[in-house]
Amino acid sequence: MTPTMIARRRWLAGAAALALQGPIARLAFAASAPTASDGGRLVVVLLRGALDGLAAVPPVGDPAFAPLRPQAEQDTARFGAPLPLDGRFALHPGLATLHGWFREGQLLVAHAVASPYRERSHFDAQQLLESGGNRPFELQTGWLGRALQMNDARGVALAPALPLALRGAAGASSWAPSREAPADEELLERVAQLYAQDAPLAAAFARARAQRRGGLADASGDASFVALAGQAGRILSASDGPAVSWIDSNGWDTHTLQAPRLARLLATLDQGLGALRSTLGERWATTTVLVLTEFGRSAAMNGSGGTDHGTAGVAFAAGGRVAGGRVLADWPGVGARELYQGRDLRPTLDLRALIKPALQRQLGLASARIERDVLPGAPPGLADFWRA
Amino acid sequence: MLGRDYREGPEALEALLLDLSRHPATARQLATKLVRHFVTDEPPPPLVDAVATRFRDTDGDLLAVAEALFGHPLAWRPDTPSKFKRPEELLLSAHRALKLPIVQTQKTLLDLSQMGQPVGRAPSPQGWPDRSEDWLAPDALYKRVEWAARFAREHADLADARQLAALSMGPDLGAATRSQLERADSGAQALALWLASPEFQRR
Repeated sequence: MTPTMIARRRWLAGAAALALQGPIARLAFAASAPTASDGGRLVVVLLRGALDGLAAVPPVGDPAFAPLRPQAEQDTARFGAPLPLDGRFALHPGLATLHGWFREGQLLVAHAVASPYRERSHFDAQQLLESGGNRPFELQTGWLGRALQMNDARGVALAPALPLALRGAAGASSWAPSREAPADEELLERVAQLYAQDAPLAAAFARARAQRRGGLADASGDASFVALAGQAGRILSASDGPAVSWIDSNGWDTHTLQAPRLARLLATLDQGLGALRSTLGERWATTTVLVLTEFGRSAAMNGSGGTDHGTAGVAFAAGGRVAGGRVLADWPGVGARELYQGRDLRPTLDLRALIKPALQRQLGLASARIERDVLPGAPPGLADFWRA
Repeated sequence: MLGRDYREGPEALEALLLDLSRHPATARQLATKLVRHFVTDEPPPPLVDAVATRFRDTDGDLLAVAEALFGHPLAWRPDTPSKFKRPEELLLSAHRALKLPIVQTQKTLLDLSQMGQPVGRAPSPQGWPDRSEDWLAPDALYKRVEWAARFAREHADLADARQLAALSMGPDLGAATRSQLERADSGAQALALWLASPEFQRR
């Protein structure tokens, strides 16, 4: 038995003695049977810049954690106390809405999770996460785009340009609020005539106009995350709305003074996801939300009150169908000898194990097709992702 | 490395870089990128071959490579639609056509962000993707049309779009666009239509 395993068992035994509020979630994997798409929606939120998973979901039950984050007490005084999850883990105080969902059983937290990427470049890591390949720049289209294309389904990114993740689908488009006054219909009609003989322009322009007529016009020009998330809910809630929505959230690369920045960023994320649920209305019951980030951050703080590029971190899955109220983690520990390369949280779960069940159920894709064309080389999906 | 042994020492790196730059795969890679950037998203192999060969024959003389590219008939085939302008090219070409200096820098930067390519914020060190499908999403096109409408409202007094279009595009101005410009209900509308036209949106 290696020292790491001993330390891990000792910690697990200690955690069990903490009178857990829920059972320790065990990871189980299976190629679950495909389900035909039933109008369920999928929302993916990408936190670009790499969220510090140990700040968002601190492993308060791991005795090795406190020494890594010595300023925790000051942070609690300024931003509030972490919200307890299951005795092993807690949630950052900015995530109060998500904490409510956890208690409702509608939020699943996955910890020590990572994509197959093991270096520390944002660009390569985001390319890999969005493309769904096994190496950066191996694939030039996105996993969500390929999945949409298979079903001839539609997806919309709340972004000024189409993110890589949605490329590869004829039915993928982007939308961002405009600063402009509502366009003059007469001019738009004339432009449409201008494009009549130019097939790519005509098709793109017709789609953009249809999107706006379908209630996507937005006079506020508000491109904040909260506004975009609320807009995503409105778009998806329509009975003929797209199956998928993608929302980017920027600014998570917290190398310096991260406590106040994360307090603000996480509160905005929390508020945005709350807006999404509220505008989805009844559709929340059949919607699944995945919150992903390209990698985690260093376990210890750096000299500037921040954290540097790391490896494993957290991911969230939420929605009416998700078997939530649990923290899924094959916890590797954050003791010095347990850290990956002596500095990062060690990955024990592949992000794609969360993406797979979401694609199967929400888009009705057979697992064989996902394995062949959407996420080649991905490990099996989580078996107990859905509420029974 | 590359099937060759390099002697240890600082000269080894230089020798390796030189060998890499003369490797046939380097010529091919650069030729493909140049053709994709300047001619079409799907580079025709004979054109790539011609450019790559010239690169190798001249040991990377960029002027000679450019001549091979632009002197090749495949670079000018009328049945290959020309590339869409990137947002930056679109803005610059509009200002140039109207002989309008860029003075409101902040506004121009905002315009570029709205069209999906904020200055200095490319998604990776490789820069913006070079294939139009990567950025000519419906919403981005819509933003370009909105920009054309506003730009035309602000600057309609600078020129008669019908004359300017004929002057700057000559025979490349299609009959359909010419007739739309003639039928425009105002000078601003004519300018907006020209800026939004396929001819102006493409290089």
